[in-house]
Amino acid sequence: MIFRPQLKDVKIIGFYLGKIILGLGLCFLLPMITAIIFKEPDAFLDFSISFFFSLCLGLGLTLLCQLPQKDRVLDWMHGMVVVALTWIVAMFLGAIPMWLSGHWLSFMDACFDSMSGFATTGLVLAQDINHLSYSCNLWRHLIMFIGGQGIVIIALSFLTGVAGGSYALYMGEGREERILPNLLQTARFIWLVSLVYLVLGSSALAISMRLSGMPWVDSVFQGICIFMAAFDTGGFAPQSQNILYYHSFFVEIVCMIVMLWGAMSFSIHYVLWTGNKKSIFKDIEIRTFFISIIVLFVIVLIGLSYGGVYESGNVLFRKGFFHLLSAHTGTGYSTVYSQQFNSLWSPLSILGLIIAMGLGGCVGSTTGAIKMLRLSLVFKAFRAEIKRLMFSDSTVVVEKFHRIRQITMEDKQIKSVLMITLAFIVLYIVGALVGVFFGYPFINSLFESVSASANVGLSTGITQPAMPTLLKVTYILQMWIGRLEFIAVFVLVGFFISWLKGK
Amino acid sequence: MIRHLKFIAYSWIFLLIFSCFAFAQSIKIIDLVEGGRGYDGKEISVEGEVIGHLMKRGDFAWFNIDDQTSSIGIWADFDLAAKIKYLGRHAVRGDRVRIDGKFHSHCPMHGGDTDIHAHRIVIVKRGAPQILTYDNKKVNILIFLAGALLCLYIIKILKRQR
Repeated sequence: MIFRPQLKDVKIIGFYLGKIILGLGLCFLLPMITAIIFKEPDAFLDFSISFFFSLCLGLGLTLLCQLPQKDRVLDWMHGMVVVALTWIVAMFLGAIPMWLSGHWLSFMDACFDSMSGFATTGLVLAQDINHLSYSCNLWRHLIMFIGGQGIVIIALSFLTGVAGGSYALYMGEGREERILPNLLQTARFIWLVSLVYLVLGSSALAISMRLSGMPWVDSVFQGICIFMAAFDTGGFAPQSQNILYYHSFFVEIVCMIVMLWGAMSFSIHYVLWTGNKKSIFKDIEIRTFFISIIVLFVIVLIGLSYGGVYESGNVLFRKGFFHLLSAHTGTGYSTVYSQQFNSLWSPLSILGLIIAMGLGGCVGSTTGAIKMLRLSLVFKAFRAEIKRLMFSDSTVVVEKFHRIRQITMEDKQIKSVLMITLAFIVLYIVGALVGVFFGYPFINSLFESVSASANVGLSTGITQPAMPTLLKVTYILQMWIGRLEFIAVFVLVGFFISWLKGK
Repeated sequence: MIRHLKFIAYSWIFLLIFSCFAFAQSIKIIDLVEGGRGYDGKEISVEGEVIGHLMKRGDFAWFNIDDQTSSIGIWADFDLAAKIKYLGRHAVRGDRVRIDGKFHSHCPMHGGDTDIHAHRIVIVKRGAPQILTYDNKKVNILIFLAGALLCLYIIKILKRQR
């Protein structure tokens, strides 16, 4: 029998949702300050409206759903529902200043870009980005940074009064590993790492942009923006031509390093900072990641050579390797036009990119998709199964793998890995079929669908303001489900079903 | 004889005018991007607004132009590009220029980038800074929301006191 959620459950969810909205509202202060610095009065008004609206909504919800302290216990289900709803609410709130700026044709388009930003996807429907205000550009990149680290991670870092259920909030955002025994410490470590890298990475990008001939102020500003989007494997850029705008090998090299860095698990960063650095080379996920990059680069290279477009080694590396890394890390940065994937790239190299996007980076990083640890465990499980078939029934096959430490593979783990992998494959195919339904070629629809679900952001040109509304909604859902890695969304759906059918 | 000479002279003048007109016909950037290989290595003419930055690289410079269908990078002699005064960005309408040059769908000299190597830059229309204003409706909404927040905060304090 399904039990209908009680009013108390709704109040608990509403209370914590309100708290997180209050936190999110405070994030509008940064673009407001930017608007003051760069003297942008209209943009300042847009962000002030969003700021006050968020505070009203957050405060209103906490007042409406107020409960005594002892009743505010957040269980697993509450945590998951809070996470799933937070991302939807964040999308709407994030879209307000974008829509008010007038650079998006409709509120739907602004919501699309807002979800694309929070989910670190990087698909764009904005108009005339080249004339966008500094503050709005900062907001587009800031939401990637916030979404990449996890909206709820911010709340966990600052909300000290979360009673129980905080692990559900943490896991709901697609994270599995506790880096430190205490979740609050883990959340704060993630922020510490990100802020230190923000300073280093932004400086490297600012210097490379300055060397490319840009003035200092814009080099620093765009360096910060590009870092936030690259480290969080997002893919937005302050100019409409994305990374092609800079025409700079230095900028591309720094972007590649930052993208690769962002695709590494925070556990790996923790080991790099504190532990035995040599053990990283034994790590199953790192090994799989580098093998996958090499194999897929060979596929892309063969495809590009077969197409006969890029002739010199330098060009093949700059175009082939950059886009492979951009796809594999789920960033979506590009130095070619989306239409050129159709006109210049061969189907084999496109296939290489689709596979790279579908596989993604490391578990516990800001990348989306199936991820390397799951891929390596699927292979391990496959090998163990063959061994079981080869040997006698009495033989016990034990598979181990090195992930920070030596771990024995368990059936429960494999079951969960296979479930998520299968769910991602189904999501990729469903999105592709919707694209085909609207008349787009299958390979382009699959490319776009994988790009949205795996939170990559590369496009073959389907994503544009004129595309059908239902396709926009499909991609928004794919970005949301892909970023949260299904569980929180499944729980939210279950919550609504029990609301309707429960007794 | 004179009639024949007149005919040849008129034909020559007509062809000259027509060819000048044909050269001046600008191609949309999106057409270059989508049909890149067809235009590759050809002399073309594009028109658009200069956006972003003039990035000096030795004796040359990079800048990008946008014609509202797409944007493209222009590689030009710095002295040639120096005549550009306004670069399009927020609150600045950039100079509208016509570029005559050689199009590369994947330039081997610039790492495979799609670009135009400019021979001639003509300022079609000078850009200008734009005066920033604000919408009064937005001010009213802001005042309303600030008032609503104040009310909610007072309710919160009253509830806490109870």
